[in-house]
Amino acid sequence: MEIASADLADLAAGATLLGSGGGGDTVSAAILVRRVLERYGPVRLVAPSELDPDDWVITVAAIGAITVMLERLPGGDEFVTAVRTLERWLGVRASAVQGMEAAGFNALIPVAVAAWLDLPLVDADGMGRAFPRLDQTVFTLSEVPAAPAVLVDPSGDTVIIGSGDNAAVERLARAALPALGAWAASALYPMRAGQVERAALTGSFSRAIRLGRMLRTAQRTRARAGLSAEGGEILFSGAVLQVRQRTPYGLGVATLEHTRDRERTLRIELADEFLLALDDGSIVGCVPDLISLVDTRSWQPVSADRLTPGRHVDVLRLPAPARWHEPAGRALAGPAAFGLYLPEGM
Amino acid sequence: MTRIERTLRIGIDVGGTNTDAVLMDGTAVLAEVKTSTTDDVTSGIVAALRGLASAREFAPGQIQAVMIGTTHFTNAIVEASRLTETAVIRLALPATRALPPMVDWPDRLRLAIGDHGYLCHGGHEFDGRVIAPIDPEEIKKVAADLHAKGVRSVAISSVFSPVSAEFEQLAADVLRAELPEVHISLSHEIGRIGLLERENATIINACLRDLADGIVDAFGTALQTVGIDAPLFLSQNDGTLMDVEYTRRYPVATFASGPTNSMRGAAFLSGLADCAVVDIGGTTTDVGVLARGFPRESATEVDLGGVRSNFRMPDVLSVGIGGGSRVRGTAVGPDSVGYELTRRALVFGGDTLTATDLAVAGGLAEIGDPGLVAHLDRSAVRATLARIARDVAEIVDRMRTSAAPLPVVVVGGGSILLPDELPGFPDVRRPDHFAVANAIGAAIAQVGGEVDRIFAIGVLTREEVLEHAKAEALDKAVAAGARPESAQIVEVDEVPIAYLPGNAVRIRVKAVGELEVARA
Repeated sequence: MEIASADLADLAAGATLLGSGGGGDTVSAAILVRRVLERYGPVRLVAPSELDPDDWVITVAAIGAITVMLERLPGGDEFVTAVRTLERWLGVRASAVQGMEAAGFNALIPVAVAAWLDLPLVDADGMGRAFPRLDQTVFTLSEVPAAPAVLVDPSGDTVIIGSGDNAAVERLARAALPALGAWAASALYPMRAGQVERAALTGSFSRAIRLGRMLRTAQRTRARAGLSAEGGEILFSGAVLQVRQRTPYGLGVATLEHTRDRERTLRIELADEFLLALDDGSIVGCVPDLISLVDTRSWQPVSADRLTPGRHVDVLRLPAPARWHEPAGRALAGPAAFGLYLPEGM
Repeated sequence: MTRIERTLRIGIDVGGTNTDAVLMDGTAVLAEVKTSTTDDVTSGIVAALRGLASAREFAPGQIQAVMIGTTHFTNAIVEASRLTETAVIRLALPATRALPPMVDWPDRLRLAIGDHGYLCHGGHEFDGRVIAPIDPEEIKKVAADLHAKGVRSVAISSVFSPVSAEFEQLAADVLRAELPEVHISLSHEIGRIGLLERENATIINACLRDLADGIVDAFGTALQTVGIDAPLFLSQNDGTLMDVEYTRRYPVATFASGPTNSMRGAAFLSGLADCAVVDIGGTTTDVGVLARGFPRESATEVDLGGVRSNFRMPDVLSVGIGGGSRVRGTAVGPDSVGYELTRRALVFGGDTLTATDLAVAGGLAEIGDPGLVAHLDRSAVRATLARIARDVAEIVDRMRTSAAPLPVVVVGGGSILLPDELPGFPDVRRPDHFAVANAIGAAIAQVGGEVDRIFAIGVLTREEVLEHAKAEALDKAVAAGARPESAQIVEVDEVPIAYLPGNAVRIRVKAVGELEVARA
């Protein structure tokens, strides 16, 4: 299988849905990748089993502030520099790259990196959705270290985090980001193909493309059936009454009034992503599952930072990969990791 | 000598087909007129102004202000014609190279303005630090190249110029010293955060500069011709006004002012703050929704002739049905006889069957000579009119976002095509002066100012930052011509920057006020 420029619209749409309200801009990312693929040709998308188990696979992502990325656009070299630097540090050559977060901007940029490096892209990632922290991966659950991790800004300035557990890498990277200009190209989680097969979520990019195809069909035809085929459902349709964005000190909140039953209210807790949905007080969706909002009329995804009162939206829920529902997964990326303390068993 | 009180306002909307004009005294509509848009800009406006004078006599000295909304600039971009050859200088290297200027433009438009993109060193980080120092020699080299190519309009963008405009201004100074004649458009004065989208709007602005001079001069000549010495204003996309000098420099701000004006006019005429507005012109039907008196904004990135921008535009769905739509069998439009309606439609003695002819034959309107359409088959006419109503109702239904009853206000000259009830929408209103709602929207417009910027919170508290932004928006509104005591903040939007430790917020503040007009 391969990813060609004709697949990018689907990949971008699916990536936005998987962003669960976060994950960053996919429009300019799709333009970037399209240019790269038009120049270098399609990228080969491989299953980890297609590689030699001893082959090195390097994980790539942009890390940091998405609003900043809309302005300080990628130069391109920073991603290649990040991978090459990590290879040099380890004294290995990568045989393939994979995604860390197959959602939002980070579902698209690995395709360009694979093309730039003339390497295949492994159809795998570490999150299966968007999460805010780089240690919120199934790699962490499988004890694959994020370090050594490389961060590169567009000027080529480079930070190498040589060691540390994954939470420490996250902490150190976060501390370095302001000095790097708020976002950086990153190469991290180097692992063998055999480890990818055991540790990673597989089928990530093909799932994003499939979801995107479903979403775009729904946008054109108003057919909503494809959603349930992906295990998703529409939780609520309504108008946004009020939005309080996240602050440095606490979560944001949005309240919605149901379209047909005005007494019925949905409350959404949000940070960079949508985290929790309460329908008249009952939990109907909760991280690690994905809560995504789409415009009622156009079915264009609405990101958390663009949610405004008066918008009419459909609230969708998509299941997270099963590993996020295991105890270790919930501890790392469940409600409590976002400051939401729910009763046992929820 | 008698002092004449300047109390009257004239609103004019120049569409692709019709030019509409109204004479207003406060909230009272004294006269309305509908004329054909002419290729020659001046004579169309003169005809509209003379039409008003013959409908309701007034002394030119009574006119307080003339407000014009025009589609000239939008059409120039859509048609990729009458555009000035334009260069883009982006100050950003080594950042942003993966997405060079005009990367997402349709070829036709990019080639129409010469495809001159330059990436130079410069740009700032989100916190105001420099990405790379600007190099005046690099800019001078670009200037020499532009001189050799004869390029006369330049768009300059720089990374994070809404945070620090320093480099755009520096580059402009260098360019001006080298090429004093060149028009310069700076991105921080035009758009918001989002480099590509802001840069695109800046380029579009730059390539309209010559056309803007021509259009504004033609409007001025028209006013002179009829002896009106009142100030002239143009409508902007958000429904506020700008003066002539501002229009020369920022023609892109006129985009989408047509739909905005007609929706604001419909709100004013119907007294409804929440409704759907169906505006049927000569060629198209535009459907928008008013929420609390203002057009609902488009949620998606807005296309200007196929170019993405982050301009805030009303959310409008269009379909190619209008009063001038040609009818073939049971098919209506999308092509239209446009401004030739009064010559080519059957009811005017022409040879082309148009939607207007059906409306007359179906008894919905009395225009021209009904005898000339008496031969049309009645049941076919009724069926086609019913289909037009159904098609329009379907568009309104797509704009509807809740099950709550949605009143529909029908405006525009072509709205004679619709019956008094639409399938699924029992409450259809056609207010007085419906045919000139857009001109009324122009006449009642206010003046606004907007700030959209990323502020670092740390040195200043959040409250201080907000106060700062509000004061700046009010200053901008007053600078744009608002009466200071009438200026007020109408919108405050505060968004923390995602995935960044909490020290920066993006703040958007909008202020509007009543137009300050000097009394004679």
